[in-house]
Amino acid sequence: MRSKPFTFATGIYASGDWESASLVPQNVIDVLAKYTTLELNPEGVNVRIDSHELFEYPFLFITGHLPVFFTPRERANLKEYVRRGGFVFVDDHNHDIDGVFHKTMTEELEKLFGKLVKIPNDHRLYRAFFEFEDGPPTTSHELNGWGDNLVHDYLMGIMDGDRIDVLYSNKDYSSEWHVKLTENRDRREAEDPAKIAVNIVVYALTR
Amino acid sequence: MTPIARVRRARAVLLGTVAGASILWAAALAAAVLLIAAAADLLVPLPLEMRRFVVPAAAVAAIAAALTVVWRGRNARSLGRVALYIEERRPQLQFALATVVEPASAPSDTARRALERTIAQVTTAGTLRAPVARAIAAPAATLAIALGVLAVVPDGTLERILSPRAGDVLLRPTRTAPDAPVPNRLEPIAVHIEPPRYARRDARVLDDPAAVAALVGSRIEVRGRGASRGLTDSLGATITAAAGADTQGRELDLRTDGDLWSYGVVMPSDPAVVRLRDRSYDRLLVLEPVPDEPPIVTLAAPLRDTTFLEPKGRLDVDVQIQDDIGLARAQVELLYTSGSGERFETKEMIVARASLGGKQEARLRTTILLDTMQLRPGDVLHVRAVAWDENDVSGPGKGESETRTIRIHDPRELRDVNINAASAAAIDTSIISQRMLIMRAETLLVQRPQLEAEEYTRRSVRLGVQQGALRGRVLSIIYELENVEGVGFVGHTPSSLVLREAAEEMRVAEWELSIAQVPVALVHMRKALQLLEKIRDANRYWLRGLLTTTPVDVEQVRLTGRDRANVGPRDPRERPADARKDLLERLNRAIALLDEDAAAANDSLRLVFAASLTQARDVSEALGQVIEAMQRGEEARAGLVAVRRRLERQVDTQGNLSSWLGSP
Repeated sequence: MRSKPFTFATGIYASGDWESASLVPQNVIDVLAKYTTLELNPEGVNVRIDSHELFEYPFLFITGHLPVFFTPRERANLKEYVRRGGFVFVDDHNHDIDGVFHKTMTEELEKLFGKLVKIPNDHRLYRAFFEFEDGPPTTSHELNGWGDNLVHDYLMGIMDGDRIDVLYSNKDYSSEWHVKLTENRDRREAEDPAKIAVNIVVYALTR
Repeated sequence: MTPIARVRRARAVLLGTVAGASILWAAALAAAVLLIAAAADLLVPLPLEMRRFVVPAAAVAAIAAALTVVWRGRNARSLGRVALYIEERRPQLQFALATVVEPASAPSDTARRALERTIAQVTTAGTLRAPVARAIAAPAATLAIALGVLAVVPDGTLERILSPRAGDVLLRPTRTAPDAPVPNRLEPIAVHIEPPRYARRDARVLDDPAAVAALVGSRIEVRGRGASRGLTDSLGATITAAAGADTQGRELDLRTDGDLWSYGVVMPSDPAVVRLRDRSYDRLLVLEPVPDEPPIVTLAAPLRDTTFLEPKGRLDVDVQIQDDIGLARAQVELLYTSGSGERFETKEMIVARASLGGKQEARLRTTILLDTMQLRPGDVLHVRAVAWDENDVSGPGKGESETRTIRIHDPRELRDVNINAASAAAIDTSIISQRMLIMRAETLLVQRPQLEAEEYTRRSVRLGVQQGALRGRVLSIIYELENVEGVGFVGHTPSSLVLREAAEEMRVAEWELSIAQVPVALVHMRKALQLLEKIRDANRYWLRGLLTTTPVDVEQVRLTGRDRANVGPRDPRERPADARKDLLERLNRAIALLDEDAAAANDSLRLVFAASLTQARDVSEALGQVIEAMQRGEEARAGLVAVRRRLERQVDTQGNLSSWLGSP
């Protein structure tokens, strides 16, 4: 069977600022190309969560800083998307467990899907491509004391048994990945911060 | 004793007899009706609804019997009739008694004395003894026989007839000899349901149900009988989640009270199946949890998101709250956000609270004074209401209204934000009309030399009226822009301010046209058109989501990563299991089993029903009805086919996301 190229889809929602990390798609596509043989769509798409177009993409990225209040249509669509097997990765661009995005988004997710749980750091997600022995890698924002000045050493998720349906990050990978490609490449000595993106995408496609 | 006194005494005896007979017949008939119903219930269990009619039917029979006897004995009230009744049994009286008591005959004193002598010679004592005895004996005997038989009907039979209620199925005696093998003790059963206390609902009982629907947290007690016949070790019950009904469940504790056995369980939050066992018998009981729905919270005001030009004025908040059981409390929350980019400041506050004391409906109103909040341009307020119900078992259930976003206009947004022009129909029609008016005014000017002064003035005035009508349309657009339904005036907008200018120009043009000053009017008309066109360009929808996406040169960077990578083939993502399809297959297997093993098919259907409560809610009600019908012994194949069709339709239309296949 001919496979469809992977398309990085960013979710558009009515409230808040979904567009706060506009460079994330190209960075993630770049890192996927660097490390994997995945057939890739070279360009990401921005897709409205309340649209039927959402169902064309098996992977959805959602980010933002501001309060998130989904519309009834967005809620229904997102729930149906996950029910049909779609994978949602939500990242808090604030890196702040007391932040409004975290509070409102986790409330919305739990209202839709039930309790968010901590994903154990030995979960298959962390071995899906690269090995992350200690769970999710820290971000420069965490190390520099931004946001709530905490290192969040776990990700959270809406689980179906061992399978992650919705992955929630409070680590602000959006900021980490929202860096121009040239800047990213200049950091030659540092470990590529977008490597976890490879694991997330590969896990989403093979879970 | 005078003849009259004799007749009166006889009348009293006869009236007493009629009364007694009527009471006895009434009681006898009522007892007979009860007896017949009890006998019928012993043979075939009468449904509760039918048994509820037995006592009223017995009462009606009793009243009818009593009335019949009284009607038949109505002549006992008349002295003349009573005298004739005695004469009939003592012919020697030769109608002397009847003549004496007949007031119309009025005999002379001599004749009266002769009649009294005749009467005195005849003994009337004992005349009524035999007929009275007959009248009383028949109903008394009937009553005695009926009561006698009722006294020996098996225990519980009469109680089922006299006070029928759900759960009395366990009172019905079984027709088994004491030394006969113990029958299936799982039939019948009664299920007692006690809702959680916070729900303030009455307990209820179900007879022999296939499924039990009750509020989550309700105390469910399954009762049966036969515990006194030993073998309690062979009784057992397990509860299993419906999703894993084929796995081993949790054992329930058996309780016995005399002949009754029972198992208690608390209604779980997910559908479950209780499997009752008695030796080789077993029985499935589906537990269908009824969730306590969270409160429905609706913001009646403000009705929609809005933008305030300035952080001034008042914002009325009107909240309507409803709950299926009872509300505990509610509050109006305000979330204030200020800032942009990566720097945001947020504050949360509660602006109104109310304790709702178990009401099912409530309203909460408050007013937010924007002047006191020290808001700045660009700030955003999110308003929502939250309510909690009184559910202290699985809750409290929390309901939230939609969130309204109130923005404070920031003039910088017009410069910074990515905006896109969009047509505005109302403005466009005004523009076309204004352009037409200008053309007509210009034509009028050209035609002026050929027109009479009066005709020129008349046409100019007509144009003025049309200009006035157009101004009215523009004013209505201004009103729409500056007012919000349910809130009222919310301030000027940039568009409304420009439109106000246009309306003013139109007003001046209208005046000039009314006095035939067409050239002057044209200046203002053209200015108005200019402003309208300006507003069309300015009146834009703020379209977020127009971010451009930058393509990556995938081939150039392909596999250039420096870190060790785990490149290799991987298994493709599996399609998620389609629960409905699985349910359809199970239903088909159960239908196929109907002819071979009805009991097994019934069990399978109950398990399918339990699973449908979470996986195919749209068919669960119909399937539940089919199972109930099958339990009553009715043909249910047509119903099952209908359920299957519905499931098939849904299976066809449900798709999963296209699987990604490939190797990273």
